[in-house]
Amino acid sequence: MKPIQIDVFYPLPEGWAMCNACELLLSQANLGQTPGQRGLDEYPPDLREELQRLSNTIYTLAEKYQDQVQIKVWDPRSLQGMLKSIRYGARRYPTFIINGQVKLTDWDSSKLDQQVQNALESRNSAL
Amino acid sequence: MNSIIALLIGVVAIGVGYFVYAKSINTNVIQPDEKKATPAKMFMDGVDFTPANRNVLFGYQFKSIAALGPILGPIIAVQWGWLPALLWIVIGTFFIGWVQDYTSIMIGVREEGQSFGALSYRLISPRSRMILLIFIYFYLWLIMGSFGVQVGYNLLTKVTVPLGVIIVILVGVLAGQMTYKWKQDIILTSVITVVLSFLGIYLSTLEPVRNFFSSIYSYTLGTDGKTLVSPTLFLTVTQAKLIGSLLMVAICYFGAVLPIWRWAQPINYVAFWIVTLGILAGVIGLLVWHPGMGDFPAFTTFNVTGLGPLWPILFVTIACGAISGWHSLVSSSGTARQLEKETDALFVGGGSMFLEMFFAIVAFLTATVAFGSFQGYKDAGGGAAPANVFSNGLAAFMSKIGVPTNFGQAYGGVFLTLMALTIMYLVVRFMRAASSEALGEKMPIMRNVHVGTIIALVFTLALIWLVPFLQIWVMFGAANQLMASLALLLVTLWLKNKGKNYQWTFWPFVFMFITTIFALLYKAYEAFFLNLPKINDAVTNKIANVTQFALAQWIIGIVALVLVVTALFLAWDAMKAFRQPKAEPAKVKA
Repeated sequence: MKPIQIDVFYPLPEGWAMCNACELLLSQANLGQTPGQRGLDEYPPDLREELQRLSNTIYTLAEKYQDQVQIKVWDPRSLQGMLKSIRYGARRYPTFIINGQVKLTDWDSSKLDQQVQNALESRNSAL
Repeated sequence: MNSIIALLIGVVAIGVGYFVYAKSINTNVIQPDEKKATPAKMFMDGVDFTPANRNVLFGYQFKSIAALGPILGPIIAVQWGWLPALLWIVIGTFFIGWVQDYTSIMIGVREEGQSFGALSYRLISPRSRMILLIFIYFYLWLIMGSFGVQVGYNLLTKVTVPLGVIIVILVGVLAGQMTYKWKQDIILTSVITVVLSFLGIYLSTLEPVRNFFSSIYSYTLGTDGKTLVSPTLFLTVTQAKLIGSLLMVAICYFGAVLPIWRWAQPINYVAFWIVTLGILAGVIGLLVWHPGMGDFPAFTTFNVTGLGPLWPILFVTIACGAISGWHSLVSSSGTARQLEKETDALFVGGGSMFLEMFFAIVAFLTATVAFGSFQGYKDAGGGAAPANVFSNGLAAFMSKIGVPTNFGQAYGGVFLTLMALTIMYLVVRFMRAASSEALGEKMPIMRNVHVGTIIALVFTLALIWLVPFLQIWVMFGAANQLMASLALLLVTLWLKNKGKNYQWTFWPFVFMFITTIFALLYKAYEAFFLNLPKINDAVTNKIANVTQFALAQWIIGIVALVLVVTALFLAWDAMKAFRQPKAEPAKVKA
């Protein structure tokens, strides 16, 4: 059965990993912290909290619905992410798009869960 | 030769190289298995090991390998004539470049995503890992030196560039504020910041701005009536070069000490648009114009002043764009850990190398066709100022689609400066982290963010102020190719251990190793035996400052010898490992 597609739009923080070259040098030199993590602790605390919240939401969805959902996170600053956010009108973050049709732009996880359930039900009834 | 023919040669090389030679090696020797679990799947941690779509990974690989290297190398190397440079770009990629990149991914995938340091420890010897680290530290310093000269001496000293760079940086800071503090829509943020950046670049071309920077740099017209001359303050550093290099250092300082979201990340984002739009406009302009090479010679001379003999120096002058050791680090440590299927490796590793070759050919064309003559190339800065050649060449291409030349030149200068700075302030961060972790326990002051940063920047300034660019660049290339030799050697040992045909990696290794060793020995010989004696007759040899000249020769000579010694240790250990029975890696104590 085709999984429900959930597109998530959020500007993802980048650590030193934004410079792949530097990241690789760091990994070769084995300087303690993983390169992907370096710099992330420099972001504002509220942003880090938001990111943690988003991460929890995504993991909860993935755990609850397993193979029934396919979650894609888009950074609207990437080319593909920008084109998709224009297409879906994602102007605030995070924005969740369910099956390319339903748009949610707040942190209410129960509403999100409800919409995913609705999408699953309508998919099942269509079969 | 017409530029379209050069581009066609690139297209044919991609066709035959990728679809015939590379596919045949892939199918008959490496034999990737689509169903075999890759490290990305086996050790998925969401950080280093993450399976990624092959198209996304192709972008990651290309972004990692194609920075200033494939732009500056070909522009410097055309001093031997366009033919040797073009041949090395095409043949180097065809027989060696993709081989190294692709096999570095495959060795990483088949050896559970181990880094090159760990692999060399296991396949060659424990000290090879230390050699790799020594190489990395020299490499970083040389990156700062070679990019620093281009930014501080050649780009920021142009009167139309500094304001554009400062405005784009301020606009980048605004982008960070809008994204992370004001939580604004990214599309709106992008439109506002890109438009403001273009406006900033336009402002920098206006006469009052040019006059302002002319007065700051105390420029006067030279005896030829064309060149701007700035007074020399100390050593051979002019007022313009001093201000340019200090401005560069200040930008790097902020990039290294301010939170990444405040400076490095958003500026990099705005710069991405400037670079992407610039390349797009330049390539379209080139295709529309498709000029010939005019009187640009196919071959000039075997021994180019300031660089050296065609063999071995050409082969280290063009690294990225033909073969670059840097790519092996990217491939083995980064890409190999994100490969979803083994069958994606050729597309990602080989494909992006062939695309980089094409990018290098475009850079090569900015030097050979944009100015209509060899003299035009030399007047634009020649091999000593490749950043100027590229920015002016790009402007010439863009002018064919209606972009005014003075705006195009400023745009090209800002474009290259931002490309270099993105790498530079993160390299400073790396140098700071390295010194803090290496010396922090014994000298707590080294843990201070500002102290570590300032020390790294002082080292950078020393290299920029003391050593001529071409000498730094050749050493940078040699360090890079030393890494390539190591990568090819590792792959050869790995193939031999697996009982597979290794001739297609062994001979490229032999060529790269011998070439690099001879290049380094030549540079040491040149520094100690050809250049140093010149100080005895400084006037005849036109040496402006004897102390600086002598120090530069000592620095280059010593760095070359250190790299030769590390390479010879490596070769000796590898030879011992090579003689061991099949499938038995070097026995080492942890």
